[in-house]
Amino acid sequence: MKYNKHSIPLTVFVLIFPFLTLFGQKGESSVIVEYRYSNAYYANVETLLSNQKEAVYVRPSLDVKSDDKEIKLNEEGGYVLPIGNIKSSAISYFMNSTNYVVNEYTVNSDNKRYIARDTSIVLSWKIDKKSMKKISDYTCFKATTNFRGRDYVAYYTEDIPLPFGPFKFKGLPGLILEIQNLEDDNKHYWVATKIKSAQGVKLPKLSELTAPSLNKYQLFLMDRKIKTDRLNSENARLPQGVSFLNNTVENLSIEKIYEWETPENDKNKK
Amino acid sequence: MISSGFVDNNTIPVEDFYDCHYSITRTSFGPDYEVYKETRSYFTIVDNAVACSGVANMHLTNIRMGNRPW
Repeated sequence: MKYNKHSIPLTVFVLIFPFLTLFGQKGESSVIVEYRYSNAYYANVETLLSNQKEAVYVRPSLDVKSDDKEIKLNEEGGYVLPIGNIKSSAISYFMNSTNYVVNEYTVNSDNKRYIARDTSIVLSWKIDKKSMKKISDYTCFKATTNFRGRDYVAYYTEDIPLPFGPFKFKGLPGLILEIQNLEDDNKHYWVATKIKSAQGVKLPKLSELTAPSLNKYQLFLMDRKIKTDRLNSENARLPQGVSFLNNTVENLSIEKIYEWETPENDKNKK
Repeated sequence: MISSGFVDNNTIPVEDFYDCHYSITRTSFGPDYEVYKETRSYFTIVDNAVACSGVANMHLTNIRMGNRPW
């Protein structure tokens, strides 16, 4: 089961009323934007609730049952296991327009909750106003950035002057309607499919949620320890006479490399 | 050259040991949507290529039966 952007149904924008008029007026204007997210393995609908000052981006939990049972051979003659079932947490990202801190509120499949505070995000956008395209009726300008090991190309519209977009992407002078990375290992692609007014709708407040708080670095260390322990225990259960040679893990995620994984000498070169 | 009708044993390659290398790759998904591709390489010494294939298949069967996580 493979997904790519070409398998996405035709984008349909729903305009409740003209956003140009809406954002030309003073006061708080809120919108709800639905994005279609896809990568090489699955697709999902995600939602942004936003006003000019703050936003909440919701990635609902994913529960995909795979019926692919065939073991294949890769180019090097190795065995490739079929993709198992995909089950993920529901994550809401709380952001504001004044800084790059993102609070991630996660509800795991076993209903455990926690808030991870991601404070090390750096997004430096390069805007190219000579490159533009129409997405629905909106004139969009091109902007590029590097985020955690991946190069992204975004198209944003100044017709909707909200500095937010899908996932943790923010800081442009207009709403991001489309964004994707350039690397071939896994294409992460978001496109806005619906934009609706949310006049009078209050954004959920992080302060109203009760959950243990961690920072992203602590979670990273915990995750790495779990993976290492699992690997060591499995090593003892190999077929007779077989030994482990090596284990290589290729990160295909949106966030490929965290800041604390970058070697110090690479930082100094910049 | 006149052949004696017998084949010299020295001309037949004999495999005493066979270095059996194989790898197994899977794509996994973390609880927070992370996508990883993980490849593990294994090694054992067997008699020949057929035996190597047997070891790898036994390994895969164990994974399929749930005797190993993967």
